[in-house]
Amino acid sequence: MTQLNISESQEEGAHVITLAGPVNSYTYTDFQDKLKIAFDLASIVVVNMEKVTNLSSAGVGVLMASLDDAEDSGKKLFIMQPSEIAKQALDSTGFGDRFTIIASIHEAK
Amino acid sequence: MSRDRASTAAGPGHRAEAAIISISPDEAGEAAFEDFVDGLSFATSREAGAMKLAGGELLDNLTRYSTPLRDNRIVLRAARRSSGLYLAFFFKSAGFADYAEGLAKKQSASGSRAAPFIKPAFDPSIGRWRGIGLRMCRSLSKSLYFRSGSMLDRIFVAF
Repeated sequence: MTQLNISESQEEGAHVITLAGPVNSYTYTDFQDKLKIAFDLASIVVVNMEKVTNLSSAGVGVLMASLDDAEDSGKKLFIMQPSEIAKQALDSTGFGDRFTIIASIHEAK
Repeated sequence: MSRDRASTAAGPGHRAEAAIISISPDEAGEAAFEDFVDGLSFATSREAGAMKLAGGELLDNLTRYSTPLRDNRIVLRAARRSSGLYLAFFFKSAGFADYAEGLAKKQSASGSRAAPFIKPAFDPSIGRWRGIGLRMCRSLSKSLYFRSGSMLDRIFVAF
């Protein structure tokens, strides 16, 4: 079974969630929970998606809802180094432009 | 899971390539489908991405709304033809006929074989976004056909 591995760290004042594996209907709830907690802990959250192998509508929905919540509460969500398929998924929804994509943690301001 | 690959001549200068897999409608099946698409030698990474994303959404819908399936199996066939890349789902579900009919009506009304357009929106009653999967299918595929038959149900996606 392919699993989604999630690791977390604090870097340069941001809470960084690093994903590795597929974000699909079977794995998105772990990501959703981690993202909610991250926004309780920090005002800047970075999701490193370099090693995401799939991003289904469930995963995109989590990002969309988190972005809405972050904007409502004056916090910031960044997506760092999205894999080709993660970028393809975001663009395919028509909402890709809503997300701030960064190449490194230094850009998360 | 069973998996097979085929490569057959399709005429002078053409070579049809195809791969087949049989999966169960569950988490293991989803993982097998993702591995299957990753292993397609005849698809570029961008084509494989579109197939994995749109195919995954359809597989997820089948698993959620059309189970139980006969023999608890879905057979998928990916193929490259001169006109492009295709993905077909073969299965048998008691509930699929109504679903297919609903989609056909929407396509008939719009005059398009693309996946129907539903504007994604946040549903506060369940606390999540709806309509994103269909939007992804629409933008990642050229056409989508649902066919319900007495012996077999089928979904064809062209990329």
